[in-house]
Amino acid sequence: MIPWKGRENTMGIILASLAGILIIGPMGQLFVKGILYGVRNHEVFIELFSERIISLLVRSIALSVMVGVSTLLLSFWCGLAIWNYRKISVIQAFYSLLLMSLIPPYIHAQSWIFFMDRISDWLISLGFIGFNFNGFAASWLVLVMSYLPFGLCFVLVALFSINQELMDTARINTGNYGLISKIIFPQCSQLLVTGFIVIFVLSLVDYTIPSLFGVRVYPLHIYARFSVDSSQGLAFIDSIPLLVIASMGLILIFMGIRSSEIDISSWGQVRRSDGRELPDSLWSKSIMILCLVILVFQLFVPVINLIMEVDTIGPVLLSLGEISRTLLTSILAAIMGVVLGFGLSGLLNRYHTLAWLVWPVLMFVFIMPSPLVGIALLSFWEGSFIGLENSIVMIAMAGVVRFLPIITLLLYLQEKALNRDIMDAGKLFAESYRSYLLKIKLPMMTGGLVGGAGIMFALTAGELGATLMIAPPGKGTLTMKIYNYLHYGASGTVAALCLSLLGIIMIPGCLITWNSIRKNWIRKSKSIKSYEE
Amino acid sequence: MKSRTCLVVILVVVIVIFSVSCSSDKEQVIIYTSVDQVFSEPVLKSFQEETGIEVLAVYDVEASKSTGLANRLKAEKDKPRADVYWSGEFIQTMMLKNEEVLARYISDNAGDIPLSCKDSDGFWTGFGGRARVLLVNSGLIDKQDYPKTLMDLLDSKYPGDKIGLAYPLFGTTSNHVAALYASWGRDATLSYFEQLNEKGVMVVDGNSVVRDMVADGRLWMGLTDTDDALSAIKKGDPVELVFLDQEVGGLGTFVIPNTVALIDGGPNGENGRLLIDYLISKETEKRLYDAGWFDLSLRDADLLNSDLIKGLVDMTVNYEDVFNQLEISASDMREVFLH
Repeated sequence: MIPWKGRENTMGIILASLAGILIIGPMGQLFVKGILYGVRNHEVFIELFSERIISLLVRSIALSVMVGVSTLLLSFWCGLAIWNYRKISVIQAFYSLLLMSLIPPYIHAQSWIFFMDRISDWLISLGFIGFNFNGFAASWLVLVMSYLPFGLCFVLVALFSINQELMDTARINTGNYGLISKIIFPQCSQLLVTGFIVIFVLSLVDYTIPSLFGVRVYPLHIYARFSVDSSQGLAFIDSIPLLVIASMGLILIFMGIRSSEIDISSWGQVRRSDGRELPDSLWSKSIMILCLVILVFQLFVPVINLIMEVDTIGPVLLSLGEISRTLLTSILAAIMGVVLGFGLSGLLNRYHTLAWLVWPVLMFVFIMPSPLVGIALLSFWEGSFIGLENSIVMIAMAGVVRFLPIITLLLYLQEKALNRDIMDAGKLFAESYRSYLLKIKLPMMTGGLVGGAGIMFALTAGELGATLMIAPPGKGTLTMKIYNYLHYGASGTVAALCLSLLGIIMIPGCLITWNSIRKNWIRKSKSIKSYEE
Repeated sequence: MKSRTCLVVILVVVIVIFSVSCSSDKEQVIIYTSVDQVFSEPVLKSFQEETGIEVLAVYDVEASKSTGLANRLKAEKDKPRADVYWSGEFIQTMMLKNEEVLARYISDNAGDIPLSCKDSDGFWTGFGGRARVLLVNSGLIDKQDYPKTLMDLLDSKYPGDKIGLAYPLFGTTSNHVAALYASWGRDATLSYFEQLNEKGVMVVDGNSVVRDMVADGRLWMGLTDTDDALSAIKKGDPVELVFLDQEVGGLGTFVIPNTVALIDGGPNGENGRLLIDYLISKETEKRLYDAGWFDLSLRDADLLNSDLIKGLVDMTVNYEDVFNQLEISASDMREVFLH
């Protein structure tokens, strides 16, 4: 019997309660409005089954499935290449890559339109037929590029969790194809499915990219109605189909997680050999290289396009207020998100029955249109005695409310995968909960906590819909300013501001990379010193 | 040691954030505006410099697709934070009046603005105007082939995928549709847009996207607003602006006024009135005209208007009628274009 077990539960309950107030308060209000609206207007439920709505849903689902599958396939081969040829510590490498690649979708959209138009012009100049970068294909490409970092995250977690002894044994008797099809893919399948569902849900609820390319999807219908009716209750009813689909995906995730065997004991270890996992064969090398090239394009097309468009840094100097506010709110959101996500994930891992209550609530928040989340927050917190509605803390809260489900899922998966023997031993021998937390649990979860903080930081920095609703007057963010100038067509100004936003988003990635390089340098110095001695 | 460092960092961040959030003791006025920040910000800064009243602004973005500041004002109705609402169109303002978000205020500077451009009960004032126009790529289509009326867009000589318009579900495009409902009637307008949709017109994300696609030749022509059209002309893009339905007895061009209104119960009502007086003054109107936001004056047809605008035949339509058609027209357009 662990004497301080009650303290662990208390901490989890406190953090979960804070998360609950943050989310359930505003969203609960919205939920009630939705129910009341539905009770008064039964016909809106019947409309959900109309041919028009179903055709929009089918198109949304089709696009999301294509995006999910393509992203995971691309991520799988990219991840395989990184895993196969790595020389440095795993966690630092892939988190750096992840955070340096989290570019907001609207920046991708602008950049790829520009890039594809240049390709089209070049083809025309060579006497070929040009093309219009528009429609389903354009939406698909931009969404894949936007969500590639998420896919890569799940793939790398899966690959680095593969049982090494199994790999070493199998390599003796089987070739490349056998390794991938009989060992690697089956071992990774659960996390790959999880990654697919996360990306599927993210693209399912997005209308901004498809509408930019003229693809009519279901979330656009929700927005179109809300813009005229302004009814939160009706918007909630309209969101029900998305909630049902996303919930089905969530059930699949958890069925998969229950039966998954994820081993992270090899994380952080530098390989004893030269690091090659797969035998070198032409076809696997070719595919991996091709996918890596696409990954490089994913990062450099937006960055180079923006650099080419910049004509002055004046707009950046005039936007120091927006830049500092974006930085501060993103940092606060990262701290809040990770702390609350840690508490929630711990509680969910200890009390499985809670999952049936908590995950649908988190998913409900996640699929809600972002302006609705903002309005729900505003309605709930206005007139609060703390006066929060006039502070930039509200902007951080909008980010936390919107993206806490992702962070909670990430930390939940990570905690589930922790070495239970070490955890149990730690609980037994730690003299206090504080000691267990600081010496055992937090160090073991460092990767997830750092990654989760970075993801929350990046997503909050690029958040627009909810922020627009709750940003205090005179305290707008950089993303709000970018969108304003984007509409006007000031491409040079937009490019300069986008590059500064990218710079902000890349801060966590650069810090992690610097830390990784520093640690490796220290390790090498120590090993050289001990060799000399 | 590490945990203590983390704790110190967290505390510093929280203290900085809360100190940044503290309010100022200066005289203030808070404005929510859907007018592009690039146009509205300089005007608000000038007001601040001239009066010493600090202006705190919240700018809307086109990506919010009219779900933005008007909804925020409704959500804040019981405890308003804004003093003034300045919109680039009039329908959202009329919705706010219906929701009892606005306060009655008739500025002395509004005396020479026509009655048809002001709320009859004094809840909002129209000033300056933008028109709905056709932007044409002059390099891809000969001048004699330019469409002259909206109905010409249905002509088979113009391929559907070379004509663009913003989603007629939001913004000024939805206002334009509602105006057509008020002028042509529901059946005729619905039939028109159904034919446009069957023709395969390119429906895009906003007026600025229409402008960009016409300018770079992906479209031959597109329906947009004068401020977007003139910004492309100013940049030197190979485009020309066409006012449709200018023939004698024709429909005329739909003109969309800016509107400004006082928020009921706002924290700085007196400063709000001063700001409204400033915004609808002739000097500000001229300034916004020179900047390219306004393209015509509602006060006097010849006061500001360039040769481009002089003699413009505008659509004779009552703004109240347009507003009353919004819900049904938006519902019909969802049926037509979201399928």
